Amino acid sequence: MNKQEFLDCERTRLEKLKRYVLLPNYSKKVGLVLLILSFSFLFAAGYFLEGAATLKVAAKNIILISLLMIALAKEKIEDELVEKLRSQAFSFAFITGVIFSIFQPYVNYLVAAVVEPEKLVFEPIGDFVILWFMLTMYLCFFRLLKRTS
Amino acid sequence: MKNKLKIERAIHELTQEELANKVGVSRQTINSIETNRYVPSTTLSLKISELFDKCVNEIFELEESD
Repeated sequence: MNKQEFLDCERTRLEKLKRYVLLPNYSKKVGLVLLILSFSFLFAAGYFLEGAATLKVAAKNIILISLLMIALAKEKIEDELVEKLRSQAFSFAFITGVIFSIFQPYVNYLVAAVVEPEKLVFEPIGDFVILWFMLTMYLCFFRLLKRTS
Repeated sequence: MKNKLKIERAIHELTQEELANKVGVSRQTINSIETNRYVPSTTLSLKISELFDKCVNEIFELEESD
């Protein structure tokens, strides 16, 4: 296999992947139900369950999966405009996600320096917060772009 | 890019919904094209021009700013 054939093969595989990456429209509803359930569980666990770290991590993972399901759910009519809006929203979400992950620890540090100077520790934000932020931003940008297009 | 989609649609007595169904897109996409908020792909432009039995250039025109 020469270099050109190898590149063509890779391109075809990526094209196939792109075709299957979106989920059916009903996964939006499934994702929403999962999101509400996992948020409720996490909220309740904060008050009533001491410890239960494994369950809390599982609930956070389900939150991310449900957000991803909503993000990847096909629209009722999935046409080229929707595809364009989707890619715009993904790029906006990625850019804001990177900016958020860089600057948010400094903002947290400055707020802590004012509010609780005795407990001042510089902590980077976790992967859950970054992913949650990016997926939420994607959903917000997508809705906004869809409404204004 | 400007277009005469609305005029052509009126000539052929089609609603946005009917045109959308015929070319396989959503009504919102047709509305966005008509209001110049979205430039359609070559494939969609060709489908539209074929439907109205016109050349693409007769429906879609480049502006000086393009």
